[in-house]
Amino acid sequence: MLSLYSPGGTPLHRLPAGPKLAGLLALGILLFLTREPLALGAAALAALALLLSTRPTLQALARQLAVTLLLLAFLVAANAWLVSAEEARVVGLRLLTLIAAATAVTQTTRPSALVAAIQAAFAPFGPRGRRLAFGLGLGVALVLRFVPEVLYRIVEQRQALAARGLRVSPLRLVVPLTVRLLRSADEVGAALDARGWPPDLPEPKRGPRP
Amino acid sequence: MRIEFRGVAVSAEGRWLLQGLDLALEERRIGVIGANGSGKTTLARLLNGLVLPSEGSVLLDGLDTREAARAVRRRVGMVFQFPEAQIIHPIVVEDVALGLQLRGLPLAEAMAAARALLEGLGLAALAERTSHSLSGGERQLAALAAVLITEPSLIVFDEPTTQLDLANRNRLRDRIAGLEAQALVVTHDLELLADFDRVLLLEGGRLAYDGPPGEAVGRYRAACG
Amino acid sequence: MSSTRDLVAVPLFAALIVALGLMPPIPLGFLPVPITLQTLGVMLAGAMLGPWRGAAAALLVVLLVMLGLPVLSGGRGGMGVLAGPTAGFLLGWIPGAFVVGLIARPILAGGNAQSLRSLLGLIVACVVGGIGVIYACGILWLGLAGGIGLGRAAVGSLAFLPGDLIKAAIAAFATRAVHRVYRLTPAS
Repeated sequence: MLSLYSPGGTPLHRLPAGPKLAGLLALGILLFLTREPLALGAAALAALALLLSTRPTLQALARQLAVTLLLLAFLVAANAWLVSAEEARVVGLRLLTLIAAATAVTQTTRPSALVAAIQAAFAPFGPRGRRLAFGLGLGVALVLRFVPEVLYRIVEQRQALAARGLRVSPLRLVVPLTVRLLRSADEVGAALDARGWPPDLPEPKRGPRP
Repeated sequence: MRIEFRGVAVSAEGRWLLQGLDLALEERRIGVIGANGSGKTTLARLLNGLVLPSEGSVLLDGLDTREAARAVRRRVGMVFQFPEAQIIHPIVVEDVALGLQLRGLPLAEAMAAARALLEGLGLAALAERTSHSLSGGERQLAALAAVLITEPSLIVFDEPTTQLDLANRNRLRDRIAGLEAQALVVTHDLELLADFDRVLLLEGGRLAYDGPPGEAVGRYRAACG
Repeated sequence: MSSTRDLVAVPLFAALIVALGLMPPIPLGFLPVPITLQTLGVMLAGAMLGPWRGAAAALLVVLLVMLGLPVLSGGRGGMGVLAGPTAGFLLGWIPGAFVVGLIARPILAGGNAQSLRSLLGLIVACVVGGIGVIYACGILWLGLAGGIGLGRAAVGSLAFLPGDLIKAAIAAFATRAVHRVYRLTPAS
């Protein structure tokens, strides 16, 4: 599955995933602490500049943001009409800033780097944390493994129904699909057990204990 | 590897899947045949502890599957019948690497080993393929690679050729023949067993015959009528 | 052994949620807007996997959105979605699936899972969790961060209600049918 990451060599690309995620979180909190139009305006400009610094292609941006920006536009209009111009400004600037910064991060960060950053966050929680981190990586992999499989089964099921002259109702689609999925869970579970789940993760190398 | 069944019986939901299994196996190529429902898959799954005996015990080189399942699974690999569910990672080389990662090897080293193994098996072309795009035969080979990466002493095949066409069946036959590890193959494919050392025939959950492939297949055919 | 199976069911159902989102919306004659099937997947995950694993499946999908994968209806994804006005409706999937499972589990575990009463109970589970909770989260974010207030945000969301009610019914019927064939045990 192709991600929304867009390879490039910009400064933001080179920044590691962890700080980017943390920065986004901090930004989100800070934005909701102020209503000052100057502060929010400056933030929005900075975020837009950041997004542009990642050298996005118009096509990529359009795909990702079209719906969200449209909704934002509606929201701002609704605020202006139903609440106040001030509220419209605050909401518009806050969300625009967040959306632009968030998109900039998505553009410049590989999914695998993000997964690794999240896994690293579990590291201080000992063996259970490390196993959880491993399981997370495996979980993401399994989803990506099975999405095309499930899509294929849906198409197959639709064809089977059509061949029998039955109308394709969501119910007739969903019931055999989920039964088959649960049976697949049995099989994948057995296969994973056979390979040696749960993982034997070694202690990370550390210095002398205090 | 020495496989021992000591007074093994397996029951589930009120019926006996296997009964009265008492034997030791050390041959290099062992086959298990029998009609559907005769207990073949149950027997296969006893060998890596996926199924535990309701009575008696199963020992692999002296390790009891009830007490040392993890140690057993380090030594016993399994290739399942269902092709799509046993490949876990979306990309083949990473799926092959998974077995080593589960042992604690870091990703980079596991990947290097996986690539080397695929090359050694002549399957380098599969490495970067997506699992979903593989054909049935390719899936079985990829699954085999994923099992071989941890160098098991025994590989159990549960009906590996059932879903394959003739050409792929022959390819897999050759692969199995060429394996260094010991192999136990549960199968309907009687040609697969032609050169095997020992074949077990199961009927209704019991061992009906135990001996050379020719005899076993003959009895099976006779019983099928 | 079965615990690995229960574990693996989580990403598999997450894949279901994603796949259903990638399907084109289905027109149902009497509704003005075709229904997307993605929230149906969320309800199914909650009902069939139980509260914790259902929520975990939803969480996994949200994580994929965060990672920048186009897993939402229309091939959308990325953190921009999580920053946008409808973020609440997405994040709400997690508690939503949880509540669906919470209400559905005792119904499925009970002896009379095929009765009409149980079916109504399952519908309630899907409506409360799959609609009530998700809309609450969505309306909260939309109303508060979006400035227009909870009341107006609620009114704005009404358009999706008929489609979602139908999805809840489908999810309930489907869960009951599946339970007949493949026992969705209390542990799952």
